[in-house]
Amino acid sequence: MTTGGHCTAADDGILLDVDGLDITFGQGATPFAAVRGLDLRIGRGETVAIVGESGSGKSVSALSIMRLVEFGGGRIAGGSLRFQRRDGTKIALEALSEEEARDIRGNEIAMIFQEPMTSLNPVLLIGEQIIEAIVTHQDKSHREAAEIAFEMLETVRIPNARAIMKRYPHQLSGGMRQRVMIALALCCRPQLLIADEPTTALDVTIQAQILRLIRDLQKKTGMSVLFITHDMGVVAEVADRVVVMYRGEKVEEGPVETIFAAPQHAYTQALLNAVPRLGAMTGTTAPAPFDRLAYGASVQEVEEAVPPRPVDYGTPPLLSVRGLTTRFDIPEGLFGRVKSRVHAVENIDLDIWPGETLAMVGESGCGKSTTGRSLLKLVDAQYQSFTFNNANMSELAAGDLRRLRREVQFIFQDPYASLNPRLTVGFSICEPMLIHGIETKANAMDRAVWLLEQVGLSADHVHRYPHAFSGGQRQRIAIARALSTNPKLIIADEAVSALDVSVQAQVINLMIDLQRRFGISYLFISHDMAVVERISHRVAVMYLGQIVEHGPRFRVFENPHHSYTKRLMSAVPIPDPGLRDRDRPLITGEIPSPVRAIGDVPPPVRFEQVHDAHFAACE
Amino acid sequence: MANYFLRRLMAMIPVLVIISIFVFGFVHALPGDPARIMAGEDATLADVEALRQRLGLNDGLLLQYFTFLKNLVTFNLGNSLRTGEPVYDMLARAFMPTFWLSFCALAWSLVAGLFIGVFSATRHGKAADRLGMVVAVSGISMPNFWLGILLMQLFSLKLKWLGTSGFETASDLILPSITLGTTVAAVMARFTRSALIEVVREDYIRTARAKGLSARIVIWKHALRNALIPIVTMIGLQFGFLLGGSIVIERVFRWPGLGSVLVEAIYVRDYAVIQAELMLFSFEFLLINLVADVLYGFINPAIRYK
Repeated sequence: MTTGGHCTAADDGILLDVDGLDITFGQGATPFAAVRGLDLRIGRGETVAIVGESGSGKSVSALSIMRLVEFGGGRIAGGSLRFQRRDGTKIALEALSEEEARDIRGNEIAMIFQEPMTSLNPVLLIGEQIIEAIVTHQDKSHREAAEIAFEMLETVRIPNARAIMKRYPHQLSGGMRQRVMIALALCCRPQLLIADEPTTALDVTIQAQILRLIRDLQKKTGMSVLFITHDMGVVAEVADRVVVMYRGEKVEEGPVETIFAAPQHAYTQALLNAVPRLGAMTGTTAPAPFDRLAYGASVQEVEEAVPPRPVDYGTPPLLSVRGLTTRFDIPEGLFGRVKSRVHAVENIDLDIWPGETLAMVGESGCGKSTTGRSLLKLVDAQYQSFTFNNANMSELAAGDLRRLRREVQFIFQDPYASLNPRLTVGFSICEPMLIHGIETKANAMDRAVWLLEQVGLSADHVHRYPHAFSGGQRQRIAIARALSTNPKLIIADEAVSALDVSVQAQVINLMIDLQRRFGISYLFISHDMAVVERISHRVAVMYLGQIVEHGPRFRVFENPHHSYTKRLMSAVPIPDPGLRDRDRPLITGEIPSPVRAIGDVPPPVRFEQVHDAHFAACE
Repeated sequence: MANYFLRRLMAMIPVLVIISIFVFGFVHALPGDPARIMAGEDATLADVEALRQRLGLNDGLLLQYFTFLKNLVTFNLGNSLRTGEPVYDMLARAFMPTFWLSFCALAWSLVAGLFIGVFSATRHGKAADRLGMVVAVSGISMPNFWLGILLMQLFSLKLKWLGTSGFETASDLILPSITLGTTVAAVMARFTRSALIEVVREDYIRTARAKGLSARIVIWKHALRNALIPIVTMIGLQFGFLLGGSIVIERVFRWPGLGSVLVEAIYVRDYAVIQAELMLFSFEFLLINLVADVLYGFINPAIRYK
């Protein structure tokens, strides 16, 4: 093979042949081997999925195919990557010069990334970002390229594509940006599309749209797709063949049906068990933990099984609020007059009983997070009545608010952002106890150690800083912090959404376990119906600031009444490759805006009774 | 946009009022009696007293302040206590030389700083990067009046290429603006470098590379435009530094500008001139920062002003 590695060969139907790929990071005596001896073959028109958790080397492998891994400090240390170009010549990707690699990148191999919110340049117009890719690789004028860009945006079903081309990324939602990314990747008709967790940061509803879109486009163009994900549910929706990676090595490979029907490796089995399956809880009323997750787990599972505590709905609720409403003014003009408002939460009633999990489900922007914040007066909210723990909170005297904020604690979505990086874990856990005067300084540290053990971490973690922990471990720390004040209610705002599926399942198990042992109530805010089914006693479905259906979990899931609830459920990927082509009513388009002119108050929802405690909005 | 500009201009008024209180207080807290200084060594007490009366220095402080404020609003800046010349005329005469000096200094330092910053950032961690930063740190550390004297010795006295002082031809601008801009250029280089190193780690730069764009386009089009966002804010603040620097540099080069006028006025406690000039400097600083904010919005579409 020559430099640049050109040689011709008969077409064997193999687009990319990766053989014994080694990738290392860092220099010196002990470079870190991120990927070791990976073999991977992608045929024409085939979809191959690489599955594994964070740090398994799957993204790094993809970046090395693009020859982008060098920019992140990595290096292809060994192995070969043979790629067949459009003209039939085979080239060795690992031997290309940077200039030759640029000719392949974005042209014959294109890539979409996980974070649609940060993957587009914020200061350049959408249109320009696509056009420049076309002009770089094709002999087209700016005007012709603009026409192609427009067609691509239409292809990925962006409404009003001409206008969108003149917009900036921040003016689009996450789902729209990911469509733009796909249009960008496909504008030069690549032979191979690498999709690195393209839907992980998106709502389940948008995920379903994007997955369907990629599949349709693949059918149309005949390109090959390398799909990188940690979610076996997504794999079942898209892949022909699956490669399972664990800690830099391939542990299993096979056709998607075989992997799902008869997984060989213990790690694959654990991954499959961690996927929340919609309908798995049919016939039960209480939350139940996932089975058999442990595989090389970095945390100790709390083994003592505690029997579930039934919720006594005969007692008065722990928290009860009527007519909760939160609106945000939008100032306009020279003097900041308010002409319109965001109706984030509109006249909703909530009851949470002791020891119960109430799930609030809905898409991004439906007002579910604002609901949680309104309850703690973190935003300015109004209500007709508000009782907590048998005390009237409507007046909310200063002492009441303090007590409320002690007995209601929060866990947030982003485990990386919700712990102060400059404070030790022990201090972060102690702080709420000290603020509320629950413990003395000396005792607080002892209790922090005990709390860490309760969430499956060990006592010596108490003096470490957050950066030493993985995402899942950090979320455990956030839970320990929330528990420190002995709360009666924990508001978990998308607390597991940012986690790998296997870690997500572990954290859900932990939350269920803690509820059984300490009798805490949860307000579990989520967009993922399958997760909600696992963890909740009762469910409230939220749409545009209002509740459209609520009732016991098994009633809502086994007999969803409102059309929106049904569409939310159908968006959840089903971890069964046999069911992927099912026809299902997807939520299409964007979520309507909750911005309304002054005086234009949405009409109150009228509920019809579906069953005993199960209500749905009249449509 | 026009709305935003108007609103910001209106918001300047209270700021300027607060500044005027400080300026007035500061000037009147200066030790020394202007009447005493102006009347000269041999003046009798009665002469000094008459002079004080004529200059309005015997009025209550509050009355003096409001006179000052009223004069500001009507752009009647009063007369120099020393020469009796209208302050407005004095400032108008000195304004352009200082403007040219600041403009040239800012222009070259921004361009040079930007290039050195990009040069270093794209060679992050390599020898060239370190060399660039050694140059930059030297630029920041060197007192600029000293640099001015050195340059003058070399180019004016030894090589006799350029004049030593005054502002008669355009070439007279060269040495003072190099001297004045050095610090700004160095700060700019460091700031550009760190902003760019930060931006290059962003996801959208990876996207740009994944498109197959050349390194030049990735840096100059994709990265630099984002890096400019913090840089523009910094430039506004650097301008204040330039105003301060110009006072010293104008003395070194005998520049017939605002800085020289200010220093003269401080020597003789010429209240009217000091106050007017400090107000002018403050206003310029506010205005430049408003322009920087507007530019900021122009570069960063996420905060286009309504």
